[in-house]
Amino acid sequence: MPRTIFPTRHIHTLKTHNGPVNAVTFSSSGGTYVLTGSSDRAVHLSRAIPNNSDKTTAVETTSPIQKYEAHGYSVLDIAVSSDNARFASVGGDRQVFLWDVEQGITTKRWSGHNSRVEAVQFAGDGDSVVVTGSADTTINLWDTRSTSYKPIQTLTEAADTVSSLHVHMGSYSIASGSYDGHARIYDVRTGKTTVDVLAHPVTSVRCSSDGNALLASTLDGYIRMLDRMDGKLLNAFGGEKSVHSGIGKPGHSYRNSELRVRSVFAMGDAVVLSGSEEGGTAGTTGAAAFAWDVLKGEVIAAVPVGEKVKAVSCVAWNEGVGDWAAGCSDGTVRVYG
Amino acid sequence: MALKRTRAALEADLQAEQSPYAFYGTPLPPLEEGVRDDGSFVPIWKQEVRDEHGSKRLHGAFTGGFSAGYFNSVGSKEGWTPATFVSSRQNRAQKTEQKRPEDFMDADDLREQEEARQLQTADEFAGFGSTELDPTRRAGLMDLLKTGGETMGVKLLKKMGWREGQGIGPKVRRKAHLDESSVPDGNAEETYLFAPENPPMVAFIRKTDRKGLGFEGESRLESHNALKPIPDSEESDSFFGGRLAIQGKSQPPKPNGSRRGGLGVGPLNDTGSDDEDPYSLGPQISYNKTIGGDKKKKKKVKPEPTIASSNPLLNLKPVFISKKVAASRGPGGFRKCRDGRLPLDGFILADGISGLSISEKKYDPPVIPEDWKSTKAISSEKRDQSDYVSTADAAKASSLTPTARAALLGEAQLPGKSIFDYMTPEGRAKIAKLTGNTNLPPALGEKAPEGYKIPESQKRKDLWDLVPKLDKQIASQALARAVSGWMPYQEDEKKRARYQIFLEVSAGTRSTLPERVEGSSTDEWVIEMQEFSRAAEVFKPMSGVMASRFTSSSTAPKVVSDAPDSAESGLSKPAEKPDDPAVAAAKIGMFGPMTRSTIPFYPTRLLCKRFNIKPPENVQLDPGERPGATSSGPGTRFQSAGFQADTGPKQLVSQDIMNQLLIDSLGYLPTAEGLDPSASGQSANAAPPPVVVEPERNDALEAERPGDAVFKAIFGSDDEDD
Repeated sequence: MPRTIFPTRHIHTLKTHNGPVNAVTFSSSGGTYVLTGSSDRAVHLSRAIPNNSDKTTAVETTSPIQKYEAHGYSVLDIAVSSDNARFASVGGDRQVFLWDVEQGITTKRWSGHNSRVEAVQFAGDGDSVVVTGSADTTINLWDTRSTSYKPIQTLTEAADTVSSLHVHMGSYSIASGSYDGHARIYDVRTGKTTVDVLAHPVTSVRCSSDGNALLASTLDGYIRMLDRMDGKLLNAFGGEKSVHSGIGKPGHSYRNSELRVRSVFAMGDAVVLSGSEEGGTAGTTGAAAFAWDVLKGEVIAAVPVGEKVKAVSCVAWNEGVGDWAAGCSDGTVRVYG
Repeated sequence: MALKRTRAALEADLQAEQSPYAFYGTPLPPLEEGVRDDGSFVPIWKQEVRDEHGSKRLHGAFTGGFSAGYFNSVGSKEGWTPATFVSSRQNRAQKTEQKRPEDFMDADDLREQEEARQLQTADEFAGFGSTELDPTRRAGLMDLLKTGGETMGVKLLKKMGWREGQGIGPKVRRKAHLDESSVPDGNAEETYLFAPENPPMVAFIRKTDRKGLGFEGESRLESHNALKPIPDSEESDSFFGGRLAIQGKSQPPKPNGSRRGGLGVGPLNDTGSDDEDPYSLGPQISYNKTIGGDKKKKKKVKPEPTIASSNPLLNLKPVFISKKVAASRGPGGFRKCRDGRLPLDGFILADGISGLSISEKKYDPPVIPEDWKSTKAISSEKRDQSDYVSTADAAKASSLTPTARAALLGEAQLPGKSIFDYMTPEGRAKIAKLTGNTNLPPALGEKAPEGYKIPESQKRKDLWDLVPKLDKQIASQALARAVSGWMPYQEDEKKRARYQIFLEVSAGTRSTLPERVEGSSTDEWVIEMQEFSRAAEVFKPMSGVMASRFTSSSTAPKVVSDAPDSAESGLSKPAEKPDDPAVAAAKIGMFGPMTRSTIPFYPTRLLCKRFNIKPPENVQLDPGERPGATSSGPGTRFQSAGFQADTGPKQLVSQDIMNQLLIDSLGYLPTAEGLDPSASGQSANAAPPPVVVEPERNDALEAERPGDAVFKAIFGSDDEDD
């Protein structure tokens, strides 16, 4: 059982971007800062919870602490290294950038992909590898410690865009989700690739922290939690059912049919948190973020983010503080805690 | 200080001494000694020459000096000033303004230039001092107002092909007048087209004397001479253009001698033609026999001749025309216009009328009695102005068709009907659009008349003719292909259905007409069927052995696998085999062994190093490492090269089932012996590894080398040579 109830109080709104927010990441170990990547081609570093916040009313921030501008197209994903000194960003310009957080410059630029790069993760010992998944159906593994412009390895198993990656270093494995409807887990240690057929384009994959479960969002409007051992379905979240519980107004329902919506584990893997598209049942406007109880599979919160928001494309959970952020298609990032 | 005088005192003295009568100008100083004369002689070395501005610098050789440079020196106060260097890289040479002659002129030159300028009129105005025109033409002030050149009318006429001296109008076919005096002889019968003769303009001579009308009297002798020298063509008044005096009409030369002026030659007798002897007797009828009996007749005879018409017909032979005759021929009946043609029907020549009306006395209209009332009621009072409808409006408001109008008017109906009667409004709009003609007859959309109606069966037959012919064999092959997933129009379900029906019709398995899109015209239907026909040709399947060698691409066959939820994704759809049981299982939620498969993964050594782990066993086949313990190494490597995605999931199920069967029946899984070596890798997950791996066998292969006999048996005699 979750140790507390799921936090749904809106405490901060970031209005720094001009375009839809595609990626939200908290800084590692503590989560004081939040990195946001948007279709306005910039990555912004902001405080997750501003200093002047009294935690009761939502404050608004319009200018970030730092802007990282080098991409020529939308920024599609961001990953932060565990020491918070670097972060990696990928985007529609087919580039993979490794940034120095403090100096605000790119320390490495890899351009081996032939199409837009959809996902990026750090991997390896000391975050020495950057894993990127691209619409050219490949996963490239880049070495941060060499000056080579070629990837260490290219994984070509996917038949369609690799939309999502998650590296679980506890099991030395790289999980990937592709629009070809497969979730593949590359186990580096055992040299095996586990392929799970989900039959619908996968928009998000996530391993639980103990490495036993794989959370995969698909475009049929479900988030499935699979057992990594045998591929059996542990639980499924979502579906077109109207939500009455929690904070959300009646009528909001989880929906994911055409956009790349990300989902994460939250609250120590006790909760599944996901963004959603707008739509669903009668009378509701605007998208919402959803939280499910992992064990029961029930919606414990449906947090509407605004009337005019078409979709919550990405969510991030900050385990250290217990707050979470939702990146919205209207360019705002909302932090709840 | 007595010697010192003030200026005022000096002037007062001067005033006193000078003449008090000088009112203008400066009086000369008195001619006395000791009186200073400001304008008097100054020695030349004391004289200073100044220019009109008071400066000492003199320019120009003719005004007493010259100057150059700095006060007649050069350059500057110091002498020649070297031009400072200006880099043309920074300061590009400015475009020097055009030098005018004035820039190089000094004051003298400028003054001379000023003096050389004269104010004069433009040559176009031929007024003052112009000798170009004949002085006799000058008519005083009028010349000022008239430009000398061609008038605009003349210019326009010339543009239209008119030449000066020609008459205006269409060309006239006549014989050539080679010589004025020459009598046309026999061979001059040929006629040519000539420009019409220039008709003289009618002008009226102002009568300034008190002599009788038409009396030329003593002036006759010189008047002929005076008129003569003005030739026909040249006779143009300088102000009114080509005005012609009436007397100047062309006339054959005639001896002058016979003409004598005399009393009694009055206006009645003067016909304007000098041919006749005024005293010769004319036709008897032209003379009045009685006095006062026929004033009207006199009146009739009287008018024209004085102001002779330019009509040559009249002038040639004066013929008396009685009023009756004239009336019977209609007013101005045969009188011709100046160009020799008869006036239009219903018109009479204004020439004659005006001649009549000039001499007519003007009478006041009769006085209408006060109590007179017209019997005719004025209908316009009753007419209401508001409901007045103009003819055009009435025509617009009318809904009558031309046929109906013809019926109203009692006209005979036209034998045929217009094509527009059978046309639909759309067809008419089409034609109107194509031709740009908007006032086409309205389309009535009538049905064909009886007897011409196409029977239904015929119509159907025509429609059948429209269906493109597709080879029956091709159609059936395409159909067979369609069943297995080869089908165009994946994205449009209805079109695909229509395509299928078309194929069936072409194959002969269906006898109805191919379907058409609702609301589409026959043309669109035919076009679509032709497209289908081409598509069937393109998708014509290979037959026999070839066909079996090909399989449809993974993305194509959505047809068969069309699951109810297949149309949801805006992303590209997963490339799945339609009959992949894994996908089918995933769709119905059967996650587990059915959807799970494992393929080998070969992380590079560098990647393993970066992950800080020992490389997995299947990548430890490097020369430096211990050779792999697994026998399936080469096989799986082969798989990884290109067949993972293809063969993996497909074989998995059959493998699974087979394993399951084997396990069920035998209790264990005999992997290594019975199965394809390539399958061992995939089955590794399904079956526990200890069962699969047989170390003894591998060791046996590794440890012992087979005897030479074996090699001999295999490789034959070639090996013996070694």
